[in-house]
Amino acid sequence: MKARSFLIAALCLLAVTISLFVGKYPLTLEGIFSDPVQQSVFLRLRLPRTLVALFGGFALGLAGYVFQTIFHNDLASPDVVGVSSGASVGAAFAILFLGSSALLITCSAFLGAVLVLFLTLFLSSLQKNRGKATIVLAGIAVHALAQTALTALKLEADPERELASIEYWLMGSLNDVTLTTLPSLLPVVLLVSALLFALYRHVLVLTLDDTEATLLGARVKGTRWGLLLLATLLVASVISVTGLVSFISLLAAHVAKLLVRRHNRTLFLLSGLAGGILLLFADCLTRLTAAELPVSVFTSILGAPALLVLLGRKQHE
Amino acid sequence: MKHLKRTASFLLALTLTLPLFGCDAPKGTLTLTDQAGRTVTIEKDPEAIVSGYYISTSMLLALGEKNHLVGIESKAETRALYPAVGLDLSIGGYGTKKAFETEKAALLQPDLIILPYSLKQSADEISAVTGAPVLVVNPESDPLMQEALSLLAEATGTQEKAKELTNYVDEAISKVQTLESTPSVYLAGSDLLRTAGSKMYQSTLIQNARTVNVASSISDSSWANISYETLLSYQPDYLILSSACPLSVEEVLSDKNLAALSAVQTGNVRKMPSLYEAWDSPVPAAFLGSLWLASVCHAEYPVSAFEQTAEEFYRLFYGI
Repeated sequence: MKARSFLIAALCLLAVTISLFVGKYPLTLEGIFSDPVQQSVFLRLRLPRTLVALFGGFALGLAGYVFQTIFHNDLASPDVVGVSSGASVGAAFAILFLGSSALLITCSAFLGAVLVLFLTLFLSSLQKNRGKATIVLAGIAVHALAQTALTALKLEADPERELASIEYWLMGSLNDVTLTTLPSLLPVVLLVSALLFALYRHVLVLTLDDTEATLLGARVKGTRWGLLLLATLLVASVISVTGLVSFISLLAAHVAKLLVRRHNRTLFLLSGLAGGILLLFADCLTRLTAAELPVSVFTSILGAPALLVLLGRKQHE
Repeated sequence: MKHLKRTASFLLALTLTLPLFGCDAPKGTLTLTDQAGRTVTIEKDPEAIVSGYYISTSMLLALGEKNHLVGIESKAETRALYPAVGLDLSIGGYGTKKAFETEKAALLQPDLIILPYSLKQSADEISAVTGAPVLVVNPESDPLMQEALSLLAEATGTQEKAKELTNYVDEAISKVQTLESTPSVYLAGSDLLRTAGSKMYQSTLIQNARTVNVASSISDSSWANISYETLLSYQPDYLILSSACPLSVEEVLSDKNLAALSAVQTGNVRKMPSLYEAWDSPVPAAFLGSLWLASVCHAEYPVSAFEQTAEEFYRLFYGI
């Protein structure tokens, strides 16, 4: 297990190194220390972009693990509670009515994601049976509602300007990441990730059946809601900066489970690292294209076949 | 009896013929191929036209068809050109690039409907419902814009006016083609990091100003999103903000991420003005965008020459 963990750590280091030196502006190690322009590109653009890809992917990987554990479903992702749709509505609203400022789009997307989560939890609390299935059903309803709102906003959008901005946001990209992006992402990711690690024992309890967990003295409903809230905050903080990034939260935990079979903190950490590596490599690939394609194009190209292989392998086992 | 039969036959013939005298003489028809490749038969010299696209509306106005427009696209109140030429804004609201108000248009009983290329799939259905022929236009590049103008001119019988317009534009553009230097230009679209590649109309606008588009390696046919790094690697001589870009020149000059850009260091950042229309759109007046750019990038072509042409153009073709 240790060897496999080291392999992931080495791969992560490699991805970070490649990310620091792949881009449209040619950088050399010598130039970073001697040329002021290269120094500025490295510190203001390349390093922040690498950090956002690493920590953003890490956060998505952790959140994916939490969702799959809570819902006892290997295909569960933050979309289950409609968080991506909520963020999309928030971003589209800002693009249309708040003047397209990057900061306002980020804040509005974050608010949209959080509001949708609260709406989902509120709707599920109205039911007598407040189990996992109720949350999923409420999530589906809220997701549909948010998609309708998004369609209405798209219809209102000017096709040549606002609609293009909305569509581009929906495809996800790290093109706009600069030094000023970091304060809106890193503190939330670091704080919430640390909290999730500290609460890992509670995540572990939710791998059990609800009755078993209750017999062990766990407050299942409260724990589930609390963990969902934290995982959603992680996802919201990332996608409000990058736009929608597909597959990472779904795939990262599966990759980690290939290396570590038992649920423990190492598996949790590896899920995050796998997410970080996937997003770093996908973002490096976007930088090699002439018009810098959206990052979701590459996360899907990398993710879809990998997921099929993993599912096939699981079936075989 | 025989006399009665003759009188009855005469009266019947008269009854059947009379309605014909109340109508205009038939104008004849015209068969055209629109820019979606559809064959369309229209009545010559249509008198009630609905234009569902601001670019075709601007073209029709330049061709002198203002009085034949009975319906135009939605958000007409946002177009400064329309009140300037005296177009009644209440005829707006018949569609966007995404959808067309078919039922509303049918009420106008138009002779001709013009639609953007994005609605080409609905063209036949709209024609069937409204009973009017539908022409699809696609002026998204310079040659396609010329083609769209010729198509509309042929449909409205205004070929002479179109020729006059084309000659005027060609002559104006030729004046800047003799300029010696060819500075490089980055054109920001609706966002600083959104630009036009070689297949976009805006790339032709840049070339016509005897300047070079730094993003010509991008082959997307729509606005392409790039990163700060890509922009820095381009190192354009001039950074031009289109009229749709929400940023001001001051904001770009103070953006620390662009401090290494020579255009920023030399202060060569400008915002494209828009007199009546956005000149980075493929409207007939788009050549003024090229002339303005030439006046910014070439000292030999003075701003006064551009201003004089702009004033003359709108006076000659729009009556402003």
